Amino acid sequence: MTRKPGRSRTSLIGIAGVLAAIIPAVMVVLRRAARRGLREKGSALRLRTEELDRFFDLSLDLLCIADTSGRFRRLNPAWEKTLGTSREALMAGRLLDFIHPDDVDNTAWAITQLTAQKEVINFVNRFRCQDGTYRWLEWRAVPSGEFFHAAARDVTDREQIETALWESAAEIMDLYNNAPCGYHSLDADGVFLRINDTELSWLGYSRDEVIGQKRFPDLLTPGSLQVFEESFPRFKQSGWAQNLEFEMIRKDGSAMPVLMSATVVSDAQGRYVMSRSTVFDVTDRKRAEEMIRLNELRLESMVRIAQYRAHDVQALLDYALDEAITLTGSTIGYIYDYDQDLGEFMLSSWSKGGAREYAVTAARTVHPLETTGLWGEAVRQRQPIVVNDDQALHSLKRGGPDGQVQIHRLMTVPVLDGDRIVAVIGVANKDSDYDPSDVRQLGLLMDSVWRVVERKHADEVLRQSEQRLNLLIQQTPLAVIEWDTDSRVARWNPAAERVFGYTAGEAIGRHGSFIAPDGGWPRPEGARGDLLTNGGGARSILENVTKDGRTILCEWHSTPLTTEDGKLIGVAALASDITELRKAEREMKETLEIKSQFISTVSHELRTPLTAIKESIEIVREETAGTLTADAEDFLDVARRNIDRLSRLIHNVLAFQRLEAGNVRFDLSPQDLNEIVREVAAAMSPLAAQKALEVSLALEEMLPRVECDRDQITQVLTNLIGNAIKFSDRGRVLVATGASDNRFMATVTDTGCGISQEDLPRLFQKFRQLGPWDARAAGGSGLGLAISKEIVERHGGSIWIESELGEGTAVRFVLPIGADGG
Amino acid sequence: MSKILIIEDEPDIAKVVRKRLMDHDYEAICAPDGYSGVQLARKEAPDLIILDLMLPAGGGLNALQNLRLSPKTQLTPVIVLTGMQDAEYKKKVLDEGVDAYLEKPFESKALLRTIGYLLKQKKPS
Repeated sequence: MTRKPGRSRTSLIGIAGVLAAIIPAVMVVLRRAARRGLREKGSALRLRTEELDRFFDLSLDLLCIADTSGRFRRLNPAWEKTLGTSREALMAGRLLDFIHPDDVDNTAWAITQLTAQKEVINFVNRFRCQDGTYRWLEWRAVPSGEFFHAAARDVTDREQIETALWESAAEIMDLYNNAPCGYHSLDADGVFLRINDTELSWLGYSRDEVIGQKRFPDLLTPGSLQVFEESFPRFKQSGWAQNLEFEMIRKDGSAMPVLMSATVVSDAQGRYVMSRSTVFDVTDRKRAEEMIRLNELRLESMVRIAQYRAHDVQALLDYALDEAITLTGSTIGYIYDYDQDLGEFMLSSWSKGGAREYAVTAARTVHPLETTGLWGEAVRQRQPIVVNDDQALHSLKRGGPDGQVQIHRLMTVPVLDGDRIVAVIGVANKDSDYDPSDVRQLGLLMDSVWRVVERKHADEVLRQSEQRLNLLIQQTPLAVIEWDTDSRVARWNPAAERVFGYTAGEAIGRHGSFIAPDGGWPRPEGARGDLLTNGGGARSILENVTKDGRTILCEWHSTPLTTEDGKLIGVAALASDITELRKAEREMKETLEIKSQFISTVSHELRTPLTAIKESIEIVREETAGTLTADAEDFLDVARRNIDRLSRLIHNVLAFQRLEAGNVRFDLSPQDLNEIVREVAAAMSPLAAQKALEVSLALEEMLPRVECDRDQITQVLTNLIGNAIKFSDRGRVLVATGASDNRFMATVTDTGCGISQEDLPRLFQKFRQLGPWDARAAGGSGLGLAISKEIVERHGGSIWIESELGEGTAVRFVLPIGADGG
Repeated sequence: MSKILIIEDEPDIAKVVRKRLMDHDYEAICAPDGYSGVQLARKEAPDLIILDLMLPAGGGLNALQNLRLSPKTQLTPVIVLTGMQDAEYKKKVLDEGVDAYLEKPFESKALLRTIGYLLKQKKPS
């Protein structure tokens, strides 16, 4: 801002005053000289004129006499000295010709004043020098008819200082108004006296609306008002205040946090005149502080979540969600698990707020991504979604957890594990809009939470597996005992207590000898040595002693426990009490022996009377031959036939019992099976002939010899062909042999009554004859097939029957030919 | 006439065997247990002995061993006639040395054939 030249100013009063004191004095002298000149005419006048001329010429100021037309009439030499312009040159021109164009109007006005016979004092203008530059001149002029007398002083230096001062003041003003901080001054009542542009622009008010109109407290929030009312009296007393925090209210009603420092401006008596206050907008700092506070809150949340003693992942997620809701100032929220492969959501946690009711019914319900609304958007866009706008919410809302709960604002953030989305968290209904800092805080919180969840999950799996293992150890019927490297008990499960009678408390720490007979410890080091050299488990059967002194037999399975680097840390042993089992086995063996003995004895006891009967009948038959009636002969035959049958039965029972008991030694040698078949067929032919049956053979020639017991295989073929004859009334019995895949096969086919499918599996059971067979009263022990099966299987072969009711029966058996067969 | 001793505790068996032997012109004497059988054998010096194994007073094996110990009877042919199935016992008996082993119920023809054979073997010696 520059000053307008020629304008008179109070700030120049002091300087003008000095001039004013000089010029009137000169004028008085001049006037007195004139009056004296009138009185003392002649030489006296001349003398005075010369004196005046001397003063006139000596003056440092520029003195002149000019007429009202603006022409100089007389000039003193100071003009030439100051301006460099000759008096002749000045006299030749008009006054206004030498004036700075900007000052011409004012100067013309000053001349008009003088013409009107008015004094002009303290008039300043710029006068051109010889070199074309201008000097500032301050004028005092008095009119005198058509003339005026003027004294001008070169005030260029002063003007320059003034201008500099002014410019400096303007600069300060400019700084004051345009400073990056606010400045204001308040009177003793807090009314604004001054305020700078910056603060006005912050507040949105014009200066006129504030100065003298508003009290500072009028522009404060209620919270800050209290601070002001407490601090302002103290400030007026102490004279200063520093870093007071206020929240000011802008014209638009929004709040602005400020930091204020102030000093008191006092008068000479020390009375309060006004405040001088600087105001800083700390919105950014507040925001940063808020961010720091939120960061701290989040860190605290994370610490709480990390330390939260959740019994499972679910509880942890519930807790984390509550923390997230608190952290973001929300009122409700949810967490959905997301399966990226399936593109499906599953509600995992929900807030205790309004969503709970709805969510309970929706819990563990799967939502495919495409059916989800706004809350699925975070996954679709793979970025946080914030909606603070009701309209937008309604347009995007579709399905999902929103339920009956009214959502005003929503923020939903995808939770990433690496670059996989593993979950979505949503919070809603914050008081104010969700902003980027909320997104950031929630995202950071959930990233941490997910790491905790993952760790927790792993812990949980481990714990569950440990639990299961522990349950297994606790509940297994096997004694589980762990020995340390000093052969002392380190683990002792309930089954061990049941087996040995000692509780875990009694057993743990004791040397293993306490359960060994006579206090010995079988292979205390050796057992371990064995385990180590075997590199695996060891099985042993040992006698042990229980707490109540019983000797028991235990089966032990021991395994060395080694760390990954092969260091032995103990031995794990499983023990089971097999005392009873052994006893039972022994009893079973005894039972079998008794049974065997019984069968043997009974058979013998049966044979003796049978022999007596048989022989008696034979004797009777022989001695009465030809003397008995045909009937009597017939009945003797019946008796003899049934004795034979009974004999065979006893023979078979004994044969099977011997086989079953393993008492039969198989005498293996290479045999021509076709030859055996021919022999048996020949032996059975008479029996077949009795029923008009034909026994035919279809034998594959050049069969390799088969390693077998000739007598036993003869027995098998006898049984099979015998059965075929027994159960057929007509047709034929075919015996076929063959070999393939290093196996010999024989098939005995009949044209008999056949066997139903359901009966087939029972055929090889002992003493089994089936309904239709019984109906024919075929007679037989029912042991033939069971014996045959036993014999064939002892040879490493197998036997089976193919049959249909009414369609005849084929019995086949195969025997391995063996490496040296043929 | 050849004399045959039947050591058999079952009187009915002894009776039918004796009948068969007498019908075929043998002299048959009977003893109901092992001990008396051995005594009778020493006293009568039979040409052949038919021995049951399950016997009171010593049992068949014991009787056989005693027969073999006595000079009078050690060369006498012995036919075991038994219903016993015990394989181990049978083996012991066979190891002791018998001339024939027939199981009950026996075929009388087979018995008589065996007797005839054994006596014919014995005669030259």
